[in-house]
Parts: sequence; C-alpha cells; structure tokens
Amino acid sequence: MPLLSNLLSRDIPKNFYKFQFQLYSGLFLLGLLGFLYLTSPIVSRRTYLSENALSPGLVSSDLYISVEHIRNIMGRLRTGFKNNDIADVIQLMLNENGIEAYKQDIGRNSTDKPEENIYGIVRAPRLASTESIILVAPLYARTQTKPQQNKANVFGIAHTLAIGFALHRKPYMSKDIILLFPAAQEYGTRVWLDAYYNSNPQASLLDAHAGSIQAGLALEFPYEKFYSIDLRHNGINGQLTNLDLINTVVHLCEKNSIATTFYGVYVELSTNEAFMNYIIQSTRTLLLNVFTLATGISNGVHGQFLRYRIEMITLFGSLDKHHEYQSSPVAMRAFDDVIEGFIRSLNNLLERFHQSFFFYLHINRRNFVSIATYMVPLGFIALPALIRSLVIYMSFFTSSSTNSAATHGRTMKFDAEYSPIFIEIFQCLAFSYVLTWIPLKLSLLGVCLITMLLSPFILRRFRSNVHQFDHFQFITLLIGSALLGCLSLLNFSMALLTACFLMPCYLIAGVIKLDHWFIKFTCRFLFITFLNPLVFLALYHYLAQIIMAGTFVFPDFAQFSNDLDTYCASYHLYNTWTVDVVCLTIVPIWLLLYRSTFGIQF
Amino acid sequence: MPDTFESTYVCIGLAVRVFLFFQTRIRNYFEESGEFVTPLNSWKRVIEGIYLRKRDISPFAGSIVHETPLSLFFYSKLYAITHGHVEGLFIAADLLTGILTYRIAKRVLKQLFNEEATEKSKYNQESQPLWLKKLNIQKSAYAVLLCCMINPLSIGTCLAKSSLVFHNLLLTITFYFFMTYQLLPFIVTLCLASSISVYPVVLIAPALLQFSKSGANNRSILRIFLVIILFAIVSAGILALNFFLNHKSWSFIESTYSFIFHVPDYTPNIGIFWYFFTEMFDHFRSLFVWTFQMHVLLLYLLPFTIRLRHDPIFLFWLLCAIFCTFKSYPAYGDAAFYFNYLPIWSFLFRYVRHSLIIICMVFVALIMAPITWYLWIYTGSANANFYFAMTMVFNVAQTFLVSDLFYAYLKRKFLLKNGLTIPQVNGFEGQLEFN
Repeated sequence: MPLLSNLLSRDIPKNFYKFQFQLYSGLFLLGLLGFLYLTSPIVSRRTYLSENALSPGLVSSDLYISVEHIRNIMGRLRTGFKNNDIADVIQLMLNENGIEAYKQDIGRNSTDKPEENIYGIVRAPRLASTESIILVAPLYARTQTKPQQNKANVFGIAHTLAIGFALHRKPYMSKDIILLFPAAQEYGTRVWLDAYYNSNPQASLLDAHAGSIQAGLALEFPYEKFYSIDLRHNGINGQLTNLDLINTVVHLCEKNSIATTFYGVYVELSTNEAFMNYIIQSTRTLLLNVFTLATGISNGVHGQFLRYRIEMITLFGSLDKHHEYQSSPVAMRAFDDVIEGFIRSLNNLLERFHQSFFFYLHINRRNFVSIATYMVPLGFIALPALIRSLVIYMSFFTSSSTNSAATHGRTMKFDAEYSPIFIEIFQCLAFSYVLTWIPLKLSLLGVCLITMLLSPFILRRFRSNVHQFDHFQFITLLIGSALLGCLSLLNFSMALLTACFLMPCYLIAGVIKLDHWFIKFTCRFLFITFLNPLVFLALYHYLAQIIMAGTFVFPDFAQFSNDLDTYCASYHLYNTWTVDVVCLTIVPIWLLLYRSTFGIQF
Repeated sequence: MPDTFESTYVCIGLAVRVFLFFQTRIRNYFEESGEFVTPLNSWKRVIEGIYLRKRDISPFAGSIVHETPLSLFFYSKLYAITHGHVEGLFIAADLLTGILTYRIAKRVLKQLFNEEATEKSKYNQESQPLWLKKLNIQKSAYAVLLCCMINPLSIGTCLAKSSLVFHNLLLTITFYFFMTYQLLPFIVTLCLASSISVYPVVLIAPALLQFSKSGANNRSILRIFLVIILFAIVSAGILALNFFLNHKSWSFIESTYSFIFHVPDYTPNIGIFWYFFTEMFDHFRSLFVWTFQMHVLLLYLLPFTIRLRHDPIFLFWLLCAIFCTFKSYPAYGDAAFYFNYLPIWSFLFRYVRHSLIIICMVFVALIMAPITWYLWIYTGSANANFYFAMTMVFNVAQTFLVSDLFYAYLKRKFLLKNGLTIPQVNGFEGQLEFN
C-alpha cells in the first residue's frame, strides 16, 4: 500500500465539461434504442425446457373425454347460472363423481345470496396428500373487449370438472389436484388463499386441505368457443411465472395446433413471414410487457397465487383468428390434451420450479430476453446519473496533480452548510407522505395540481449558494440511482419507465445552475408541462392504447381518467405497492427537482 | 448541565424512538428482520429463557436460549420490574449509550488535543493545517451525539428489542472507564462484556497499553501482570457466578461460548460465517471454524498492538470495529456501535481514499439487503447468493473503512513529524511505502 497514493486526484479534462450535455443525452437515447433492439434475433434467446422432469407429460395423451360428456356438464352449469345456484350445482356434480367438495363464504354479498368459493380435491392414490396441483376456473370471466363486463365461465368450469373426473383414481397421479372455483375473481381467490395458508388471522379455516400447492393453471373462457389462447402471465408487482411453466404450455398448445398469443399479439414464426412483420409484432409484445407489468397489477387470478410461490398462468380463450384459413374454433379434444399434458408434466415434477428464469421479458412465444440482457439498456439510461454524480463529487475537492494533494489529503474547496439541504429533502418527503393518504379519495389530478401550485407558497423556498446546489444535486442523484437500482430488481418495467421520466427531470434541473431568470422560467414551464407526472402518465396510457390496438387511435381523456379511477380503487385489492412507491419516492424526487427551480441563489 | 445542542439532540433521539415504537408495522418489521436480530440477541429467545427459568427448567436444554445465566438473571429482573413492558428500558439504555458515547468522544478529543499540545515542539511547523483545533473538537463531539441519536442502525436495533442494546451499553461503559483510567471498574465491565459475547476479550491489549504506563514512555511489567491477573480473577469469578446461577451446572457453556465459537446456527445474518459454512463440506468444518475465529481474535491483534503502541485509544476503537465486523453472528447493532464513534476521527477523513465508495457500498447494502431477502424468501425468484452478495458488500465496505482509517491515522502521524513537502530524490518525488 503506497503511502502517497490517492484516488480521484486528477482533474477532469476541461473538454469533458463542454460535451457533458451531449454525452448524457446520447447515453439516454442509446439506452432507449438499445431497449428496442432487444427484439432483434441476435439478442433474444429461444425458449427451451430447462427442467427435464417436465418433458414426459408432453409426449402422449391417455384420457379420452367425449364431447357429449362436456356438453352435458355445460348444460347443467348453464341452468345453474340461470337459477343462481351454481355453487350447489358444482358441489353436487363433484360429489356425484366421488370427489370431496367444499364451500367457503367469501364474506361479501353482492346479491341476496352469499357469494361462495367452491373447491374440490381429487386425492392422489399413490401418495399421501403432501403436494398438489391446482386448477382454477373463476365462476365469471372478464370479456375480451370490455374488461368491466363479466360473463359466466361455463367452458372453463366444464373442462376443469371434466379433467378432474377423468383423473380421479388414475393410478399414476402422485399429486392431489385441487379444483377451485372462486366466486369474485381476484377477491374470492385472495380470500381462499388467505384461508388456505392461514395468513390472515381473521379468515376462517378451510374444511379440507391438500398438500403444499406446487403449480397450477387458471382457465378463463368467457365464450363457449375460442380460436386462440391468450397466455396471461403478469403477476402482481411485476412478478413473473417461471419460464419453464409457460414453455410447457406453449409447447403443448403448438403440439395440438392451438395458436397462442401474449397480450393478444400473435407473432408468426414461420420462415416465409416477412422479417419486418416479425420485428413489429415482437416489439409490440415487448412494449406491452413493459407497459402492463409496470402497473403492478396482474391480468388474471394467477397473480394472487404467485404471491404464495405457486407458479401459475391464466389461459384465456380469445375470439381472434390468427391463421388465414382457420374457420372452425379449437376442438375440445385438443384443449383437453393441453390440460392433461400440463397436469401430467407437473405430476412428474420432483421439486418446485427453480430452474429456468424468473426475470425475463417475452418478445414472442418462442423467444425471450433474460435479465442479463435487458439490464444493459436500463444501465445506459441510468448511467448519466452516476457519471454526473461522480463529476460533481470530484469537483468538491481541490484536485491538483501537484504533490500538495498527496500530503494535504483531500480537502473540500469550500465549507458547505448541509442543514438546509436536508431540511428541504425532509420537507418534500413529509409532503408526499401526507399525499399518499389522499389519492384514494381525491384523484391524482388534484394531488398533482396541489403539489405544483401550492408547494412554493406553503413551504419555504430553498436558499442555497452554488456549492450547496451542487451538494443538493449530488444527493438527489444518488437517491435517484438507488431508487432505480432497487426497482430494477423488483419490477424492471417500472424501473424503466421511472428512468425515462426521471432522467430528463435531472437534466433540466441541472440546467438551473445557470442562474438566469429566462432559463429558470423555461425550466419551470417544462416541469409543469412535459415533465409533469400526470402528463407522463397520460402519455404512457395513450402509448399503451396505441400499441394495444396496433393502429393509430386518438387520445381519449375520458377513458384515461376512468382507467385511473379504476386503478386507484382496485390496487389495494391486488396487494400492489406501485402507488406507494410512486407517492413515496418518485413524487418526492420530482418535487425536489421542481422546487429547485424556485431556489434562490446568493 | 446539558447545553441546548445536547438537549435538542437527545430530545430528537427520544422522540424518534418513542414515535416508532408506536408504529406496530415498522416495529414488527425490525423484530423479524435477520439483519437486526440474530439468535444471540433476539428478545423473543430471552423471554423464552425467562419463562423456562421460572418453571425451573434449564433454559439451555434446547437450542433456543444463548444468553449467559447472569444476563438471563438480569433480564428476568428487568422483565419482572416492568411487567413485560420493556420498551422504555430499551429506549433508556439506547439513549444512555448515546450520551456516554458523547462523553467518551469529548474525552478522547480533549486527550488527543492535549497530547498534541505537549508534543508540538517535536512537530514540523509546516504541518500546521493538520493540527487539531478547539472549535472542531466541540463540533465533532456534537456530531457523535447526533449520530447516536439518529443513526438508523441504532434506532432499528432499539426497535427490534435486540439485547445488543444492553451489550453495547456495557461495551460503551467499558470504553468510558478505559478513558477515565479506572482500572477496577474497567476490568469488571470488560469481563462482563466478554462473558456475554467472547470477542471483547481482545480489548485486553489496549488495556495493557493504557494501564501499564508509569511514566512518560515507560511501562512497568508489574502493572501488566497486575492487569492480567485481575482480568483472570474477575473472569473466573464471573464464570463461577454463572455456574452457581445455573444451579451448579456447566450446561450454559454449550449454548453460549460453544455456540459463538462453533457457529452451529446458519440463520442468515449480515456476517460471512453462515454462507461460508452452508457451502462447505463438513469434514473441513473445524479447520475453517478455527481459521475464521483466529482471523477475528488473533490475526490483527499483535500487529495492530505493536504498530499503535502509543495510541491505545485508536487501537481500542479499531479492535472493536474489527470484531464487530467479523464476529460469528453480527447484526447491524454491532456496526452501529463503532459507526457512532466515526465523527471523532473526522480529522482523518481527508486521508480516507475511498470515502465515496465506502458510503455508497454501505448505502447499497442497507437498502438492497431487505430487497434481496424479499426476492429470495417471499417471491422465490432470487436465491441465497443475492442476499449474500449484499452482506458481502457490507463487509467489504467495513473492511475498507477500517483499513482506510488506519492508513489515514498513520499517514497523518507521519506527516505531522516530517512536514508536508515531499523531498526530491534524484529529481523525482520521493515515494514511501510500508515494508
């Protein structure tokens, strides 16, 4: 250890200061483009089954379930739905076939009749009930076009029941099968899971248990026929199902010539398809992935199961036709083969899903990008913050290459008073902590306006000299980078969008250092208009709409405010923390940067 | 009489702790988190021990209680007096630790200042910018107090009701008696502290340096022997007391000292032991247990003592930092103990070379550890390596900190004696290296 060595003692080259702005914006754009480049076949990887135990189930099918049998079940279910005693009908059917069935009151009455979850357990003959697989069919499923509308999930329930009946007493079954029919979609599922795992002290205990649940499948089929299956795998808070499970389903569907889509986007993988088309559709899938995962809510009941480490996806029967010559809907036989193959694959599994990937982004059903690849663009986007903070840090110290630096040690160029900086940060944090309690009652719009217009009047202006401002920026940059780092592990999509929002804010806030009234005014104007969280949210919503539709649509503000309201009202149900993160970290940082435009320098 | 700054800081500390104790969710988080609570200091285990003791069942029969009979006796008395509402006691102990730390800081700085004043004649006049100033001394002492009061690690330890709060109080009292040259109380508290967590034993080295001084530069062998003999007698006395409190049984040795030394519990904490020993084949175990423990107890002891023979105070702090970092079941409370003394050494910060790296590493480890824990245990998408990476980052940061401060201390001393200009050797700047 040489005694005179010194880190960071050299000067930053003067040229660097000149090109700072270009460098930062260049890196930012490079990151954005790099993210889109992920769809390229060079970067993305082809999916494969990592867990060998899953493969035997993919080979052949053993069950034969006749169409008449299913039609018969569907008929009984339909009358059950009509007479409003579906719970009894399902329980009766399960009992008739020798399967134990129970009900659970979910403690919420929408009609005069109490809503009840029904579940049956198909006990495995080979082993004691130590492990189980779960098949979920919500009593009602959301329709494809209008998510608010519910339709009876007759097709899904009938197939779940039929599979359950067929697999009852099969000698090869070594895991129990739980057939769950939750009443109020997410809410009912959550109540059932809380009771099953006894995680909610208020919940009443269930009548019967099977072993620990390994994995499962949810079936949502609002129509009685379907042309393709939409695979829904978004969990809550950006959590994703193990990739092996999705690959199993995709493989089985392709074997039975059922078209599968993600977010309703079908990507043709045959070689005679135009390359451009492939890229466009893959990009759409990728962007939809990011946009939907960032909200933190799941797009099916499976999200609740992922919280308990039960790997699960939802199969949604869609009416979209993806092959030109496809005229008839998917045959029931093919669909039953998929479910049977899936259950027999899981039946074979010795351990929980732990191989393959948990952090990935799909670009189509056969290609994905893993965490190692998609972190790179985010790194590029966030790199300006790190470089800038390092540059500021180095400018704090007298940096000369003469020997005095070696012997005097690193001394600050100036004495900075830290207390106003920390008071400012504390104020903004306290302010947004108060705001977290509001948005449930008041819409985010009001909150934003209050923040923007009132905060300069309520709170004292931040007074600083140039050096203090540097310290202030340094601290906010570090906070921002830490936030991005944490988010990127928890919910990458949210981290990406946050970075897209915060980095321009930092850039604009850095310009304020040039203390001129015109610059300040312009910056403030930019903060209110383009860099406003609400505007960003609207932009995000609009972009998501365009990509979802696949064509150009006009912005629809009524729908935006409607969606926002629904989201604010429902996020508690999903156990998401997106709103908390936004209110407690992103808004304060934005507020700090925005308020620095009002700062007085002396 | 406390001045305004002191009382404000103490009030802030009190207010924060009381406020957070009423937030059940936050308190529960800290009580459950493995970073703050280890098997050695979990209050839940203490309560179990108190209960078993009351029922006349040996608390050491199972592998739950790892407190010594003496401390268990002490806690059961506290528990009985407060009828189970011990929160106030934890807050009081934590605040007392803070105030004592502040007193120590003041004494340390005053002593350093006085030492410098007497030796100024020997110093090179050029090194004036490095000399301690009266104004900075008071500021640093205040900073120590503020640090104790708002350090999130201290607050978290207090909220988690980890018995580390009491262990740290004991260690702080030891340091205090060390500073005031009171041999007998020092030996008693040191023996108590080491009877609880073994590692403070190493502090006998700075004690020998401190208490053996008879003149300006002379040490008397007689005093060294006196300190050692006293230490041995008091230790034996405490061991005997434990023996009699445990109904004349040695069963507590197995679940306290052997538990600390052999590390049978692999519950993840912020140390490096748990991961290393889960990954290792069993037949290498005893070799590495001994290696790791020697690393904490012996490896640095002799070289540091020889190098810092004129600075027992810095040596005391440095050894505390080392055993708090590398002990077998560390928690954030251990780190908080020596972090709180950092502002004392603010005059060394100019020579700390990796300050940004250290701060960022500690910061990253603090916020990422709960996240990686969540990903590993709750969602199952990450694994133990993620969490271990964060504990590794924390440990490396602490190692950097200790080595950097040690280096800075030596460099400053060298420059004080030799001045700030670097002599030219053959037309080049001279280079000095440790050899």
